[in-house]
Amino acid sequence: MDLRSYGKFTRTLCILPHCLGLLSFIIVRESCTKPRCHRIETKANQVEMAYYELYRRSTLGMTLTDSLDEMVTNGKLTPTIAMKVLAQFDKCMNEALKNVKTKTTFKGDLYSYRFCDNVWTFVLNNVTIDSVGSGGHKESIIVKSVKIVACDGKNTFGA
Amino acid sequence: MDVAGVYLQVMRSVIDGVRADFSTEQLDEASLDALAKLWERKVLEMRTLFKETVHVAPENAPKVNTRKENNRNVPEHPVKAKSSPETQDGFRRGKNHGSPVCEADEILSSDSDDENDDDRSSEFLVEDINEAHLLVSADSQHDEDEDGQNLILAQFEKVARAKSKWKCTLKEGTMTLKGKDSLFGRAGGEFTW
Repeated sequence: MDLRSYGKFTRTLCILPHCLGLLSFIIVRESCTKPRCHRIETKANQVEMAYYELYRRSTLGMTLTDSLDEMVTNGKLTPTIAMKVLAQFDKCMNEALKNVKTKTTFKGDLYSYRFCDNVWTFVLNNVTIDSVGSGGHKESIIVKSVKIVACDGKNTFGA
Repeated sequence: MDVAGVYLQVMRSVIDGVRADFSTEQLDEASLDALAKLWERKVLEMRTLFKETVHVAPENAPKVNTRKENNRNVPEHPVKAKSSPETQDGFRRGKNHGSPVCEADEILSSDSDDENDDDRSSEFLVEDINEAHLLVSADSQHDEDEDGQNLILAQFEKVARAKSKWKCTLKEGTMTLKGKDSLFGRAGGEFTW
């Protein structure tokens, strides 16, 4: 079927279902991958906080995930409770990090950047990282390559 | 910086927080204790806490300095740890003797001061951290430049660009750099693309 032989209106009609399909795909994808940090209205109309899950990729988070996986595989824990533990970890980690007083600066070369789903991902090369702790303790590290993953910190609901 | 202290605090609050859920799901305290122990062991095995001068002072444990003169005190700790009841988990033990994590950090960080003292490190075998400790004393990680991927996880407040100069402000982040963990409350970065 040669679409060019038909008028503009007919051509639009033919493409429309495909666009709608694509649109629904985008909407579904958007909701699945958005970082969760927002108020959730429960059935009782009480507001629950969902915290960022990105800290699950840190050492502490990965070790917890590994431990939970091991125990679920052994049948000592249910997957439900494992998810609750991880949610509790998200909350505790976020709260604990709010109290850290260290200030850090980094300088380096930006190798790549990405901003997708409100998450910035940078890859930096030849970076110098300086930290000053609350006790005035200073530290400096130079690394060849570092990856930074950052979620939106502007609209978090304060404690 | 007290990374181990923050980690301990997070671990304690997570375990305390899920205690209620465990009883709701009809899982006993033993499973919770097992999880806590396993988690603690894995964190120690990651070896991302050492090379830090940690001044963790649990309630009743003696305040341990991470200088060389302290090495005389440290052999006492294995004795203390071994005398503690086997059934108690690391967190409860913290009330009386100092948790194994704290002891491990004190021992591990004092060990890093004496890099040449491989013989002495064999004296510091506390029950829970035997393996991790042997790995620490034997390896040449001090010489390696980078260990795995250096990763920073944080929240951004502002990311701006002017031509090829990027400036960003981050907050509440965790860093794993050269096999070592650290945290920050606020961070600023300037990069050139």
